[in-house]
Amino acid sequence: MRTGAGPPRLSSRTVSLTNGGAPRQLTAACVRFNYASASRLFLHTVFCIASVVLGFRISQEISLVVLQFNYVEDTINWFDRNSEDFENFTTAQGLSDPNVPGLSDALEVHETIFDSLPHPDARLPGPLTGLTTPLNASKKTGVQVGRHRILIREWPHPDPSEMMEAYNLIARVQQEQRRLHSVQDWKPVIAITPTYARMFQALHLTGLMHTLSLVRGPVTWIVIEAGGTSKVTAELLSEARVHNVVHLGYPKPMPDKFEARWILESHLRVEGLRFVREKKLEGVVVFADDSNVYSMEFFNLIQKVNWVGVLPMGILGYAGFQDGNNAKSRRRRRGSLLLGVVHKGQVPPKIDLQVQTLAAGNRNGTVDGWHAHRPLPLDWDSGKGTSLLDNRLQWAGFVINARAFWTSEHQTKRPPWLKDWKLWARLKDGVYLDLRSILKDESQVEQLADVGPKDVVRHWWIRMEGRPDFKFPPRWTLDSQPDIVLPARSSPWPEVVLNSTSPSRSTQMKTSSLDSNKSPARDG
Amino acid sequence: MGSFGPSCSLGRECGSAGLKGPRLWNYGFWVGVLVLVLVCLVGGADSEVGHQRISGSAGDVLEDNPVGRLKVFIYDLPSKYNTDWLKKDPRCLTHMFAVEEYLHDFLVESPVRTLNPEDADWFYAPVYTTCDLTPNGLPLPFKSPRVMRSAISYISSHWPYWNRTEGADHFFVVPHDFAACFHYQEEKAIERGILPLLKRATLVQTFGQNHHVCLKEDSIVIPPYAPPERMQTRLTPPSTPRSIFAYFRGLFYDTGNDPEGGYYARGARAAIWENFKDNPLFDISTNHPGTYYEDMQRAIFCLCPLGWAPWSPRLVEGVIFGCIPVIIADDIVLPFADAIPWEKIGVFVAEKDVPVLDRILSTISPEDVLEKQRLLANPAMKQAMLFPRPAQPGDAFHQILNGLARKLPHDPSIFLKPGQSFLNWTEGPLGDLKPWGKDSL
Repeated sequence: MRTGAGPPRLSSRTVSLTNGGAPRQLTAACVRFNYASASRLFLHTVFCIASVVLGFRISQEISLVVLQFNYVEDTINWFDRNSEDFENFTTAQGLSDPNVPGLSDALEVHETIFDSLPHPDARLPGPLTGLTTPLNASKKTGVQVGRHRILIREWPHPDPSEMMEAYNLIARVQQEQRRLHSVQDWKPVIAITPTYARMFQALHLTGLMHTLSLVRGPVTWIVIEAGGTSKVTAELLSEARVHNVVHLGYPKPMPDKFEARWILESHLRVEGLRFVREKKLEGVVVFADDSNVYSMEFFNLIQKVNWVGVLPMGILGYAGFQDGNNAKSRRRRRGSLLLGVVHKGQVPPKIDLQVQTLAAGNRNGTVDGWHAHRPLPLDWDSGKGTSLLDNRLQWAGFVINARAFWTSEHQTKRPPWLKDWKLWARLKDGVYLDLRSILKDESQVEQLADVGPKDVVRHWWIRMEGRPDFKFPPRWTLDSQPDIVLPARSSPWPEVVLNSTSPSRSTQMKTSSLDSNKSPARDG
Repeated sequence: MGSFGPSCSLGRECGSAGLKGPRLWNYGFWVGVLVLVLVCLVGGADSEVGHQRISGSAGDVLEDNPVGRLKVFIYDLPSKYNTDWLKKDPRCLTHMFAVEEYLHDFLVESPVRTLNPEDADWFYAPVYTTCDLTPNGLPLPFKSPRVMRSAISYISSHWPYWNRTEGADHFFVVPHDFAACFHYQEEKAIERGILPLLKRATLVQTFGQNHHVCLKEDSIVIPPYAPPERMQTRLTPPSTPRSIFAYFRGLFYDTGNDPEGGYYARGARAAIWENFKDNPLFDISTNHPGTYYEDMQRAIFCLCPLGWAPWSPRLVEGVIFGCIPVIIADDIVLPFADAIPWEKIGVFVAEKDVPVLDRILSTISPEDVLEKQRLLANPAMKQAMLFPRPAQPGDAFHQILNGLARKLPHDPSIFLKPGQSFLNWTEGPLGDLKPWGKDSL
């Protein structure tokens, strides 16, 4: 419950808690020089030379014998007869009932000599069922056939320091796996998010924040807010655990209409790219709209990008309902993602998931075209007058090397088919800037993931609500105790419950006032 | 000028006329040392590749090629000893003991086979003793001694090579629980002992426990059969992070056969359950997940405790999936123990140390764990545990042949002198002496 968080932070700020969520001491840089492997290498060299000189094979096991012999002492002490540990061992007879007469009486306790064991103090005579002579070939063995005791220690729960050791072991193994098998030079991720204060902003930004905090490596999160930076957004961003959060403001407020929102968002993203250009940031730029959902595999795939990459992006649109098999609903069903029950005897509808991606003709290097978002008749508020949107692609389906925005055309490493910033980033009022226009030659786009029957879409773009003028309580604070609507089943104060059992009284929630002009209104 | 060594820097003995030229052997010696150092460095820098060479007590023998080193003659036994069993129950080709069938197929097609018995170093009699299955699929060992005796009497009467050595240059495959003791219950198996007629032959078996009656000194211990295709189609990418510390799926108590507990697995599996059922590091349970193979690939340690017999297919699965096997079976002898250095690859825990298993596992240093994973990642290691069809170089079939080749040449004393005899054909329980099949001796 927050009542206020102080002045909104307008400048960028570094959070040095974690490096993309991983413990600090296990960044990739630490693996560069490893004393243990260097000493191993040195020992190997020494023994190799020694074996050549002496004429027979000397291996590293000799060093084990010499250097680690002292560990045998430690294991003996675990089972010191006089120590606490031994007394703490209890035994269980499995599922037998100790109160049943006869069983324990019939067992003969054998003091068998276990002299093949390393520490003779650890002899545990087990009651053997009826066997008076050991049946094994030689008496020297320590393994007997027959019933043995089930050893349970006194407190069979994990020791906290051992747990920590085990987790460190797991972390070290995973680090080695990353070193050997996954991407070697991890490019930092730059996420650009246009946002604006609205009903579901808290929901979306929280989700995106947690997603980005799981990404490996340093993540720079650039959030551009329409209507200027607000306290609300700043509070949300203060909890982000990424390497760097940049909260920028754009003076124009977000308009109400769907199409106009798209256009302004494209301008906001250019603002964010302007920041990338000014600071000359390195890495892969991801256009993470706040309502997007990412799988972690997405961030592994984008590491392969050279300049401009495209991934198939799922588009989650209006969820229609299946109500009968008549022609009207059949028309509706075509092309939209449906949620619903398929009744017995009905044929489930063919579901076409909307995906924005490169068209399949790219196998031999040519690009035939794009499969773009087609707003459906049922996509209310987006379906009207949307012929203009038919040529435009969403930014979120692309990833770009950050250098595309600040290296100039004269530098040799920049490809010639990328337009220069000054030529491309020309914002006109009311005109949607498509990221596609940065490419002079679309066949240079890299397809980072396949689209086929076995492949999965790894990130989704959801854009079905978003009007900034929806009324909602921006902060969920409770200034007073809410009234009881449903009485508790057994209330300690029955007289109070009996007096106020009218269910029609709705909960009153006072909303705190904000900087921007939002009126406190009906329940969200 | 001072570069010619201290003797010259002293000054007095080195006038310009007394300077000794550099000796050729001097430079050659140091160049040789430099080359040696470089060679050894290159050989040691294999941790960058992710895996490491395996060499056991017999040396670096996993990748040896047995062709040319031995010759095997296969007796042509009547089909009642082999293929008739298969016709009766084709399940023998998919269970854990299918190696006896597959080794026969492999040897028939292999270049080590010779059709001239005078030329052969080893003789093989294909008898499928583990193919008499219950309706549930478990092999019944009750007829096996008689089948084996009948086969041996057949070969001793139709060819002279058995009587020449009384079986010392013959090998048999006995993959069942307690190998040539031919019983599934350990006490009965120990009572019976190894079939007396097989006393001198080499046995290829899955059971291995030191100081046990049912393991002969010169037996070759092999892994149980696990279908390679089934495992290889379920491999996940190696970059999947290993997040399970210790993994086990299987029974802890065998309530059917051991209702009181303490008998099954000598109480070790029950101890694992009782001590670690609440430990979040141990992912252990009795349920049968569909993602068993995938889970093993996400685990660092896979527990391989003994069951009714010390060996288990978990070892093979652990090796294929890169999960370090934690072997909890006292005195166990692991497959191909002379070719594979199991102490370097797996973790051995004594059965009485099971209550502190978590301490043992968490105090292994990360460097040791990575070393073991590197050894497990060696493709030669994985190949040596499998029985692929068609056979591939370095697989378990070849390891068996390598093991047989390492026993050559035979000691000349195995050939019997006239009048010498070691085997007693009437030794053993009376039930074994009953003849089996229509045309037995």
